[in-house]
Amino acid sequence: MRWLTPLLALAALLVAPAAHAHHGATLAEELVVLFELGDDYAAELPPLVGDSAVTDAALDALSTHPDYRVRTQASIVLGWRTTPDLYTAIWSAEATPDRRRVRLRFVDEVFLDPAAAPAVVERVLHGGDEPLAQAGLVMSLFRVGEDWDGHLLGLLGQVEHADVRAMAVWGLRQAEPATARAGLRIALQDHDPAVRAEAARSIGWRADGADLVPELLETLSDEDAHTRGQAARALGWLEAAEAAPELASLTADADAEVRLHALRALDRVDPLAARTLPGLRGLASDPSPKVSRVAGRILKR
Amino acid sequence: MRTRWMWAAAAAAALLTGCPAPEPLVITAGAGYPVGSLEHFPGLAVVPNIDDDNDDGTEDWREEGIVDGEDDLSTFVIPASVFEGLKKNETLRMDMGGAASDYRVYRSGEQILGDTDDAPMLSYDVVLGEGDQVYAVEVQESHSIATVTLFRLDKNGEEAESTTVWMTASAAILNHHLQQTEHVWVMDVSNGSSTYNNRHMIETYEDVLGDQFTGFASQPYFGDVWIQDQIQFATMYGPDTRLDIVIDSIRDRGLVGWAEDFFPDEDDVIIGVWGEGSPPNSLDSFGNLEISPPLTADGVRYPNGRAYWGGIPGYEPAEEMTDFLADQLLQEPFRVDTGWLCVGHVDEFTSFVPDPAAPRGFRFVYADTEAAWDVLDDMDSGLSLPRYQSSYGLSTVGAMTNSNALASLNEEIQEDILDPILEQFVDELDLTEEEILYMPSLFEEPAGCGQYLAALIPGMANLIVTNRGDQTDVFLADPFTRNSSSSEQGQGDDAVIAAVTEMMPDTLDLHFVDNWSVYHMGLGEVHCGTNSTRTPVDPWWTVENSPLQELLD
Repeated sequence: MRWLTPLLALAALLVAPAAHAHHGATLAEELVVLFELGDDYAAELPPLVGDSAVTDAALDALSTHPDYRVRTQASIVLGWRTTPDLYTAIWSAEATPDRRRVRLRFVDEVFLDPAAAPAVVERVLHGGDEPLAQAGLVMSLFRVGEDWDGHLLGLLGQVEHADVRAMAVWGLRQAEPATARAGLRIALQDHDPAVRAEAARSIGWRADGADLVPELLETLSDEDAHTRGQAARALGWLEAAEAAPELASLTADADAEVRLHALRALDRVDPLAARTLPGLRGLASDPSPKVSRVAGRILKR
Repeated sequence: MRTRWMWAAAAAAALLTGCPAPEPLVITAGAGYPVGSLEHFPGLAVVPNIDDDNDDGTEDWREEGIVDGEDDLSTFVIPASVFEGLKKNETLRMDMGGAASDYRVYRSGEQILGDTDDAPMLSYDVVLGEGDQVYAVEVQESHSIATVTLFRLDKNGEEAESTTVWMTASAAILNHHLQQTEHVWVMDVSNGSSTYNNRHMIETYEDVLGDQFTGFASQPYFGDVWIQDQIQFATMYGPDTRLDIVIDSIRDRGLVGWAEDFFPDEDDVIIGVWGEGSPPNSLDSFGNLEISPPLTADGVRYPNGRAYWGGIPGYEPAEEMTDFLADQLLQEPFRVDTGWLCVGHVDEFTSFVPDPAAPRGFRFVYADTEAAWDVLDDMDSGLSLPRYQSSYGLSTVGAMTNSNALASLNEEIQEDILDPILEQFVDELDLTEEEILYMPSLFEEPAGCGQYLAALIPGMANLIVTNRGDQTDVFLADPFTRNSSSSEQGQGDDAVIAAVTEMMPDTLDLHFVDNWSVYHMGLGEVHCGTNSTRTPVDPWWTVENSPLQELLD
């Protein structure tokens, strides 16, 4: 872990705090700058942690700041002061690969400690881990502590790699409604189609996903076929009857996955429309066996 | 046409056998061969001599003569009665046909037929004597076929009578769930944290299997618990010979090196890799390679079952590996769609269990979502499910049964994936409805897997069978569909366990083990984390209508 040495230095500073100059910026502003620092983070954090002019009380007060960056960075600085062992444990933890190396899991008990969440976020942003490990760290936040979904939302706007953002989006399936809606709306506009597809898919998993039907309807015209297909599927799962005309149109999409999900979804939201779909017989002989199977099943009813 | 000569030899032999003789001219072998079976293909089963019994670093076939400690030669016998039945001035001669350069036949340690540095020796004048004469046979490679024809020559040296034995070199044959179990291995992470350990699974294996179980250390293998995926055990064998093969996956994760550590002696076991150099993918793991029990399908007898592996066009295991499997012929592999799964292995939703009461001695265990809903719908919807709460946010049975998304997903999977795949299995294996056990299963979309799926209820089709004598044990995942987080509590109150127990043959002892934290949440289950050696017994050499017939075409 390339951070181990700076962490040890940090520990030393905690024993002997040094004065820290603020250069006129407020502490909140300074925390934002620190939060968004790149490679210089390792050098800039210890002085702030050791700065006796920045009191624990001040940091504690900022840990509920409306700006996610401020409150998280305040928690991180405070955490390094008060629970350095926990932070060190998070930073030194190694991931366990799943059966397929599409995921890494962090299985140490410390990850179940809600107080560890800011440390996890810090490692995601500044740990230099490969994206797979970053995604694993994000996954470790799911359902741990009261503000876990707030961290996902915060990370969504901060992490660079699409797979890591997609992991945060997946976590929103079980997030508190307002947070989830905000995060999923952002994710549907992501520049990476994998994130948009994950958002569309995740909306379909939410009991209140109907609140985002307008956004899903827009996503049916996404330039990415996989995303269009996932939006169609989610609309079907949410039984969004208003989507029937668009879904019917999408059954003629050039992409087989889109045709499949659109036809299934149409059958869910309006079985009669599916059964009377003009192109249904053609779909029954679709080159995709999955499409033809679904069409055949509808025809037989 | 490599075998045309064989038919000519057999026809000639048939003509000659019309001559009466006081004693029948026969060649015999051990008790593993029914009377007359040597005279038909495949005949004498011979194991390729590719090991190193004398530990000199050279494959035994490549050495001259029979090496010290050699244990891979098959034998046939000219019984004493043949010599006793010879008339005055009659003699015997043996001619070798077929792939003679792949074979060597020895008499009293001296080679008398087959491969030499020059042209192969094709004829041998039998030294007449008293008592049985034993001949040892060595072969170079799988599927080589040869014949030895024994001629009785009259006083003028004319061929008066003959008999021909066939010899076939064994393929590498993969194990199935009806074979006797020899040893079982699992990585021991029982001392892991409270949130990550396989303590209950290890203890259960130890209790049930005793010395036949090894929990091996985690640290040397970097915690790579997926031993099923790293290794596929196979054997080349005949009635009295056996060569174990460890097929080492190209997946090359933490368990790389495990085979060399546990099977270090080349005189016992051959370790082979197929597909080296190919970029590995998840499908190269051997949880994605399974074998049915022996069966007959579409008129073809599969004495060692049929192999199957998962993939979709464009996403398959290494071609060298699938070609190798196909080249073995005997277990004629087929591909199953696993493109819908995150991990993509056939063991995630299929298995076989022995059942003496079944028409063919086994049942096919197949994941089925409707079977799961049937059980869950009858359960108290308010029943707490602590394991599902902590891992999936599903706090109660009702949280599952009332989830429109979960219902929709599993309906799609059942109708458009599982049902068609089952139709394929029925077709490939001639399965009947009564041979199928529908394992309650639900699938979910795990984080990080996009639209691809894994088990929500721990995959109980992903199971291990051990057979020891008449005792058969099945180790499968504890579904935790009850208000308990411990496998040591509440299994008797678990409706899913009750349903599975009711469904499974009562000759099986079921062990529902806690594989949640290490395996289930890692996208695998009991079978994925276990591997076993088994005793090969199915007599492929007596089956005339097996896929090996292709060798004669």
